[in-house]
Amino acid sequence: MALLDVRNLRLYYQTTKGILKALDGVSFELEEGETLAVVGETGSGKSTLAKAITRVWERNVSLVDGEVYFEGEEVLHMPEDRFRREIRWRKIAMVPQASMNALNPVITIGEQMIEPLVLSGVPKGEALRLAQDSLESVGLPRDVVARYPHQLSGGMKQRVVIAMAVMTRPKLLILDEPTSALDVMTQANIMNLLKELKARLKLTYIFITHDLALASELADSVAVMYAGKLAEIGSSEDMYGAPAHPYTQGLMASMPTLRTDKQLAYIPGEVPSLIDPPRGCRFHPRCPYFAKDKALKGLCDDMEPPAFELKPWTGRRHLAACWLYK
Amino acid sequence: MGLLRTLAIRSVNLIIILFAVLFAISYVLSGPAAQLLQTQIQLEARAIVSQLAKSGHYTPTQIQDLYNSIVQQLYKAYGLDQPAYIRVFYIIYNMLVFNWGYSYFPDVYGVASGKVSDIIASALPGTVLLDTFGILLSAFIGIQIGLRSALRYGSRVDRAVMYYGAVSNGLPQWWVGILMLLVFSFYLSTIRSPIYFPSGGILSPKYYSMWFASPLSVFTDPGALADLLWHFALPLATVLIVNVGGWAYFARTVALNTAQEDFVTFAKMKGLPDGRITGRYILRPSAPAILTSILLGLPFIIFGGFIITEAVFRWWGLGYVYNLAIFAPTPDLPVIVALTYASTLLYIALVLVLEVLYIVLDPRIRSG
Amino acid sequence: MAARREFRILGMTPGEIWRGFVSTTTGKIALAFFSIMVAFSIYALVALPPNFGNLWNTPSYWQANPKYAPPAWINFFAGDAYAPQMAVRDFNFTAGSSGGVGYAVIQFAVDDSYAHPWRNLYVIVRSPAVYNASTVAYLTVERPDGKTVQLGPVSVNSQFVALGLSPQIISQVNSFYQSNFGVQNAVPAGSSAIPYLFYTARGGDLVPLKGTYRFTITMYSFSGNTVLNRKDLGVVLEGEVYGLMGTDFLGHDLWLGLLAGFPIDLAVGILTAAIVVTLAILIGIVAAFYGGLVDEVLTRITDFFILLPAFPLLIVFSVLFQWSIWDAIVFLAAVSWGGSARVIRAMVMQIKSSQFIESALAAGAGRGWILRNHILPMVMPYTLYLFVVNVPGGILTLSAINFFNLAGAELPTWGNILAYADEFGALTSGYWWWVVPPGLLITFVAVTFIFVAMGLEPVVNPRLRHA
Repeated sequence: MALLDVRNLRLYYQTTKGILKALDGVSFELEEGETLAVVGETGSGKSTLAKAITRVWERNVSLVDGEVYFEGEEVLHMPEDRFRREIRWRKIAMVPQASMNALNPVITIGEQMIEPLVLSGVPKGEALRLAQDSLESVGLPRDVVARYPHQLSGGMKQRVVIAMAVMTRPKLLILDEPTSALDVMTQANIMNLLKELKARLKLTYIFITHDLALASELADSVAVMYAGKLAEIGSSEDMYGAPAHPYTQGLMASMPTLRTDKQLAYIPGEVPSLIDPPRGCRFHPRCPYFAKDKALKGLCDDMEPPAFELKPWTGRRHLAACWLYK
Repeated sequence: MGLLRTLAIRSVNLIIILFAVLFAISYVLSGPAAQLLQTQIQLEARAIVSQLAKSGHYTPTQIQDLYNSIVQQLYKAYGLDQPAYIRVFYIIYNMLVFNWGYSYFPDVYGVASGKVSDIIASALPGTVLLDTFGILLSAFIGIQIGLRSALRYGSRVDRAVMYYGAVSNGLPQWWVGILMLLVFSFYLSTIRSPIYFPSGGILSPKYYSMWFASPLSVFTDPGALADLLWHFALPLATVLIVNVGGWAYFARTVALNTAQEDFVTFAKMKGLPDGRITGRYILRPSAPAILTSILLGLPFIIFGGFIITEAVFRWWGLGYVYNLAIFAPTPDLPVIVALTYASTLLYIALVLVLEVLYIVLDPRIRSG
Repeated sequence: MAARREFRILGMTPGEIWRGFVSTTTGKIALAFFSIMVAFSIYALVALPPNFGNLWNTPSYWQANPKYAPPAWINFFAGDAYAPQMAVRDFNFTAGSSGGVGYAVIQFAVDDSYAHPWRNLYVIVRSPAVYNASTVAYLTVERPDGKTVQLGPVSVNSQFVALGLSPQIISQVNSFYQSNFGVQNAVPAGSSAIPYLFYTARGGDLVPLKGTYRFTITMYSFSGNTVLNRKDLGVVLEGEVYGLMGTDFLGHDLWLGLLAGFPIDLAVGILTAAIVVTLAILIGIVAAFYGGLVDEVLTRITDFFILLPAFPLLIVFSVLFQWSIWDAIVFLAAVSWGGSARVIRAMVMQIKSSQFIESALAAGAGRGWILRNHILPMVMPYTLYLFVVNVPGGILTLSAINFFNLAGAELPTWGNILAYADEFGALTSGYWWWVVPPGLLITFVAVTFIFVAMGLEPVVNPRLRHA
């Protein structure tokens, strides 16, 4: 049984210019122990996906729809109180974007780390010890528990947040751009840390990033999002080796590599508006196949493609939402 | 330690400013006010002398000499025989050593000794009761309402609080006082309701001496206390109606701003219960801003709309005394200068207290 | 994408700002209030004569009005019990002269259905030739009960003749009651006799007699051929109630007075705010922009002004120097800019140290250029907000000063009206129409600006926008 089963997840925002369809029918499965990288451009809906799964979204949400099954149980429509007590942070934890700002400036690190534990009954002394262990495991000195956030550097704060997230041994850990605000050295350190934690604690990750190359270091599978929809999902081998969706192909082609001399390509055009998305397949205005192939007219620009199953190289299912694979 | 040094520098700055304010006030007041006093003295002297002249016992020259000597003596008594800048220094010196002198018109205040410090002392309890307590109570109630309202953002209660806050900020406090008197004092007594409120004053006259001698004794005497509360009801209601809204709106805004911060979202993600998020993640970080506002607001409010509110209710407090001093036949300088000085001093003291509190509450400043 | 140069402030075009403003409920209310306020101000400027300020202080202008009279519409709730102010317009007029004596006869009828009849009767003669000559007037009243009261002669020696308190008339009314009803001293001492024309005696008590009353006023002019013209004459019955908003101690039509207050109080508030904001921007930008010693000095000066107890000083100086309202405005603005200046300074400091300024400087941009193209565009929208925020303070403070009868007691501002209300015992006599409307209007104008500021908040504070 899959650890996480997302079916047709939708999340819409109400804005002054209209309804913004940030997430418009995303479905996928995630096995235990798997690391899924969710990649896409800004505005593709990847952060929104994380918010939807952890049920922490903004005030101006106008619609939340679909189903999310975690360990077989539906959690999207679970009563808030139960979700908070049982699922949030215990089973599903998240390291948000720009973690530097995620820490309360007027409370010590230690206080913040032990909060969830103490609230569920763990004695304070033991909780503090666990916190210190956790800090150690992310490579920070134990006495950080007595410090305040402003006394730490950006990289240290990031580690603190990761330490907090793994402290409760969650089943699923979602990381939203955990390294984009850091310098390259720190970035490398954090990635090593994540790999090490994955091996040691057997964590399941959802790793959200816009950086394909970074994703390849950690990911078992990759999901590519575009304009609020899932364009393609499959194992890393499939995705990096034989990308099916035109958008994925374009992304891969634009990634520089050290080893081969590659002509860098780029995808022309801009990310579409989420309030008024293009009719049919949302990528069709920028799709090279659509531009060249007259037979696709009337199809890609008229009807939204469902997810077609492709033959995978490995055990993981490979799906692409593109009329080319009808 | 860097902390003490910062505080020390701030204190020195504030004291310099206190001096500057004091100097400016004394200088400006002693100038034209002195003119008025001179004219007043001359008029009085003339009145005295003309009485004597009518009796026919004195020659014109004697009258003239008498007039001159009276004027001179009075000038000397009021310190008018010296040039302006010397007068100013005397005033400043006396203010600093709390030698606040005597009022020009002691009868106005009904305080036997006529000493300014006594007058101020007699009015201080009234001000503390109405202004300070009133504002603190408003702040307490208002902040509670504002914070709870922020948590229910967008609901009808929240919108109501928001509008109430905005409207109450536009209400002239003294006018609300007038309305209260109109409705609860005049109309209630007109329809011969058994419950009605007095039209002014802090106490019934029979309790005056008790209050002036020792205000605390009023609190132990049930009859006097009831009388005080009876007089206190309308002014306090006025203060609350006008001020609770503003505090609620302010607390709400601060809380809403803090609630947008990333660490609040993260706290939610951590699965913390709402109560804890409110207390630790919204209130604690907001506390410095709110406290700043309370402490900054106090002295100004005393010397802002309260002067008029106290006047409307004829409430024996510093504001009413100020009112009496200003509208005395000529402005009662010693009282005015002393009161202005006292308020500025109080303000500076509070600012210093605030700086210390801020440092305690916001660790980011500590190692700064 | 076509790059049409749109005018943008803080990333929004004026159209978007406007739409954002009116999309909130607060914005809509603010817009409504603001329109009402402006409409009334314009109406006041148009409908009132330009010398209204002077007229307000000319007691003779308001002579014919009742004093301390409630508004006329209370009759709606009181079942038509109070006689309204009546300027008699259609009266029968005959004039002529005989034997060197000019005469005029005015006849009219009034319907008295009021429990509280008219208080006084005024004869207005607008021709100096007439009232400077020796002219007298006789008054005959035919009552509904058939009795007739003969009054006069009353000497017409000024433009405005009040009949009620004339001793002659009082004694004549008293003798009318004595001879017809046997009531002694019907008219209480010091009262006007006119209401008692409309009473009758029943069992020893005086009760109103309702019905139609016919008045005949005959005027004789004894010197020469003074001609009495219809257009020079007027008759006014002073009512128990008056107008839309009642009257005060002087008979001022409060509706007009309150109306006049609109442009004045508005001007006061706007002027104060304009000066405050100008000073705040100047000092704030200069201090933050130049930094160093200039900043230190200006910050100290700002602190000084913030610590200055502005309101008490305003009172003291207004008393000492006999300030007009414009003096008071300038002083108040000159000491109140401190808080706003601090905010502007903080803003500019923040912009100055932000990264794109650094890069602009690195690219060789001059300070003036940065000021014009980066700092000012960010500060300007906030300026509007700051301006709106400062207006209520100005209006409230200056109304307070007016309440003490300082700084322009002669203008019909709302604070002044309240000052007289308090002085003339409106509180102890329950003249609510004198007390409630002025304060309500002060609140209305202040609240309008507060609502406008609230509506603008999302525009200047992007964080609040989505909510």
